[in-house]
Amino acid sequence: MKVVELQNICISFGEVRANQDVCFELEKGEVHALLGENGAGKSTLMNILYGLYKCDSGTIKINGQEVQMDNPRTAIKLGVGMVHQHFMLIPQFTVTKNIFLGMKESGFFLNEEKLNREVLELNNRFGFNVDPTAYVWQLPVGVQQKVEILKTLIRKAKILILDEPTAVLTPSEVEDLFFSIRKLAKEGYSVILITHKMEEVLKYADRVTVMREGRVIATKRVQETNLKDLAAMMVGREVNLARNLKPQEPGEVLLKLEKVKVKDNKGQYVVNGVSLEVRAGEIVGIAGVDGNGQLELGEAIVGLRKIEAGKITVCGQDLTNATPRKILDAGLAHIPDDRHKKGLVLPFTVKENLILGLQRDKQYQKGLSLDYRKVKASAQKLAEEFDIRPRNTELKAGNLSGGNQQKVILAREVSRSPKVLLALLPTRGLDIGAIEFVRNKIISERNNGKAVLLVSTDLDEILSLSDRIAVIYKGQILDVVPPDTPVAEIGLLMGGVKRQAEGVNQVG
Amino acid sequence: MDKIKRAAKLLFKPALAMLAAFAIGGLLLALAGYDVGTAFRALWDATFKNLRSFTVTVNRSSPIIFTGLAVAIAFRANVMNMGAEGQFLFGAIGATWVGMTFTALPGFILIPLMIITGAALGALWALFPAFLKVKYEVSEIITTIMLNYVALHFIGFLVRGPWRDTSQAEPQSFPIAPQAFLPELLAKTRLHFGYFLGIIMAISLFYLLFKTYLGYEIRAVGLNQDAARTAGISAEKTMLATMLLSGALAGMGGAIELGSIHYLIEGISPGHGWTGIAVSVLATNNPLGIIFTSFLFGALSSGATSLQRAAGVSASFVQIFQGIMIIGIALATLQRMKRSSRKAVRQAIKRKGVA
Repeated sequence: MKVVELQNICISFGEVRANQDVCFELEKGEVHALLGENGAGKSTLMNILYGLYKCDSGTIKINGQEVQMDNPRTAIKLGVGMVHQHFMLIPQFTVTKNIFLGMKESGFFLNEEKLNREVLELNNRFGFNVDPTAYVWQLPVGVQQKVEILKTLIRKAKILILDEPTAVLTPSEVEDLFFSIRKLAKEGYSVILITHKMEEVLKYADRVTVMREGRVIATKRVQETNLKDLAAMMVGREVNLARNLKPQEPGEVLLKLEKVKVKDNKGQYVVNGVSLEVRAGEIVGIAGVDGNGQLELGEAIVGLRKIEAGKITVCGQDLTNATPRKILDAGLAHIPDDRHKKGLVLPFTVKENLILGLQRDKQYQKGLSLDYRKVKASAQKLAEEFDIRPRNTELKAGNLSGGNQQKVILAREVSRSPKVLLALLPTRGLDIGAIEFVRNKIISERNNGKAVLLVSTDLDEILSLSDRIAVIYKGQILDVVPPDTPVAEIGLLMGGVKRQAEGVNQVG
Repeated sequence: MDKIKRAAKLLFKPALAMLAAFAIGGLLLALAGYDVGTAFRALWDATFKNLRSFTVTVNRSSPIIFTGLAVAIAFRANVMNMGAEGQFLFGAIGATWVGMTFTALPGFILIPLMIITGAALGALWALFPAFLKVKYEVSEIITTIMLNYVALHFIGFLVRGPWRDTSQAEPQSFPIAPQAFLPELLAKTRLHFGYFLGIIMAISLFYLLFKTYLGYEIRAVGLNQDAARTAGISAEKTMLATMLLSGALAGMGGAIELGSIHYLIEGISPGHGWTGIAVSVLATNNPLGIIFTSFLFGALSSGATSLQRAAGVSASFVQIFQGIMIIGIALATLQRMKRSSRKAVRQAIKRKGVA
C-alpha cells in the first residue's frame, strides 16, 4: 500500500527551480532513502510534504487521498512527522516535557508521571532507551535525536521524515538509531530518510530515490544498486574516492609535537603527551573515535588552546603557546573543524573571507587602505581555481552551499602558500562531489611537498589519504601504522586495544 | 550610479521610519486633543524656518553625532559600549580643565588642545571597562553604565568643590578662557563647527571601517570572534582599540559641547550618550547614516521646547517621536526578512537549530 504519493511536484525560489516534476512514492512499512547532494532538492521536497512550503504545482496524496498541505499542523494531523536536521528541543526541560510541549492532550496541568509512563511504553516498544525524566541538556546528541523521533510518534505520526539524522552521530549511535528505525518499519511505520551518505542507504534502507538538481534521477531497490552506481547518479559523473597516492619519499620534519599535553574546556586533560612528526610531502592521518582529544590537539597546534606541557615546533621554530598570528606566519595553514564557527565570517562576502587573516598582507595594501581591487582580482582567480560556485565573489559567504564554503576556506589557506597544512575534519558534512574535490586538493598539497596533518573521524578518509596513520585513543597516540594495515586492527586500536608481540593488551 | 543606489538604500529606512513616526505622532496629538497643524508648525519654526533656528538645530546635532559615532564603532566590534554618556562627560571635564588652566595660549592652539584632551579623557574612561572585558570577561554593559554615574557625580564634585565659580548661584565651574570659546561661524548666530567636525569624523570612520585592514578586523571580530581569532586576529586587541576609539569620539563630543557652553555644569549632557545609541541604531550603525540621524534628533531636540511653548504639548512628546522612529526601523528590518519569506523560512529553520 502506498502511504505517500507525490506527483509532479514543482517549486521555484526566485530563479532557482528547486523541484521539477518530482514524483515520489512511499510504501507502508518501508525505509525509503532520499539521496542527493546538498542542494539537490531533497529537503525542499520533504518540506513540501510536511507543509512548510507550498508547491507551485503537483499533487500530494496520503493513503491514497489527495490532500492540501497548508502547514505542519495539517501534516501532523494526517500522520506525517518530521525530524529536522537541527533539533528543536529546550535543553532546560525534561525529555517528557519536551515531547509533550505544545500538545493539548497533556492538559493544562502536567501529570508528569502519567506522561512519563507513556514515553516509557513507546521506548520499550522500539528500543529507544531514553530516560523520560532526564533533562535534555544532559543527553548526548544521539539520544536527543531519539527524543525528536519520540515527539513525532507521540503525535501519532505513521510516516516519519528524518532529515540527515546521522549527520552529528557517532558510528555506534548510528547503529543504535537504525536498530530502532528498522523496528518501526517492522511495525508498519514508514520512514523517509533524507541523506547524502550512500553507505547508510545500502546498509539500512529498502529503497532509494536519487535526486540531482531538483529532479528525480531514479528509484531503485537497494539490492539492485551499489556504491558506484549511486555515486554516479548523485553527482552525474563518475566519482573516484579510492586511494590515489603515489609513493613519494618524505623530506625534512616540518611539524613536530613532543609530549604535548592539553586540557579541554572543563579543565580535564584530553591530550596526554602526544609526540608526532610530520615530514614534507607526507600526509599523517590521525584516526580515532570522536572525542579522544584529536580536535583539542588541533586547536593547540594552531595556538587556540593552551599547551600545558610539551613542545610544538613548526618549520624548526619553537611555537609552543605562541599566538595564532605567529604560528600562521611561521608557515602553517589551517582548515578548522567547524567552518561556520571558526572558518568563515558568514556575513562577509566571499571576497572578504578569502583574505581573512591576510588582511595585513603587503600585497593588499595601498597607502593607508586595503586595495580592494587587488583583493577582488585575487578572489576571482581563486574562485576560478577552486571552482567556487557561484563565481560571484561579492556574495555573502553565508549564501553558499557547505561544499563551496569549504572551498573558500581551502582556497584561502592554500593561497597562503604554507609549509604545513593542518586539516581538521575537512570533509565533514560535505556532499560527495565536494569531498572528492577537497581530498584531491589535500593530496596535491602533499605532492607539492607540504607536510599535512589530517584529523578525521571518518576511517575511510584516513585510509584513502594517509601515508602514515596515527591512532589516537584517550589523548594518546597508541600506535603509528602504515596505511595497508588491516582495517580490523586499526579499528581495535581506535577502541583502545593494542596488539603487541606478547598478545592483546588493553590500554587506558 | 552604484554609489547613489547604495546611498538611497541607506537613507530609505530612516526616512520611512521618520515618516511613520510623524504620521503616528500626529495621530496621537490629534487624539490627545491638540491642534496638529499648530504643533507641527511650531516644530518646523523652531528647527528650519530661518537661519537662526536652523543654526540652533545644527548645534544641537553636534554632541549627538559624536556619541552616535562612538556607539556605532563599538557596536561594529560587538562591544556594547553603554558608556558614551560618561565618556562624553569626561571629555567635557578635560576640556574645562585645559580651558581654565592654559589661559595664556591663543585660541587656535587652546581649542584643539581642549578637543584632544577631551578625546584622551574619553578614551581613558573607556579603557577601564575595555580592560576588564578583555582581561577578565566582565560584561562591558554593566561597567560602562556604572561608570556613567561615576562620571556624573565626579562633575558634581568638581562644580561644587574645587572648580566652583562662587560668583554664580547655581553650582558651575569657572568659565574657560574667552579665546577658548568656539568661534561663531556666522554673525548673529551661535553656529560653531562641532557638527561639521562630526561629519568629517563620520566620513573618516566610514573609511576606517570599510577601507582599511583595521576596520576589516573590527568588523570580523564583531561578526564572528571565533573565526577572527582562528585567522590570527587578536580579538582582545581589536576590542580594546575599538573601545578607545569609541571613548575618544564621545570625549571629543563632550569637549566641543563644553567649548560651546563655556563652563562646566552637571546638566551638560541631557543624556547625549543615550541618544547616541538611538542615533546609531537608527542608522544601522553606519557612520554615514549617523550624519543624518543625528541631525534629525538634533532637530527634534531643538523643536521640543517650542512645541511646548507654542502648542502646549509637553516636550517629552518628542521622545515619543524618537521611540516610534526606532520601532519603525526595527519593523523595516523585519520587513526585509519577510520579503524573501520562503528562503527565510528555510534559513530560519536552520538557524534556530544552530542556536
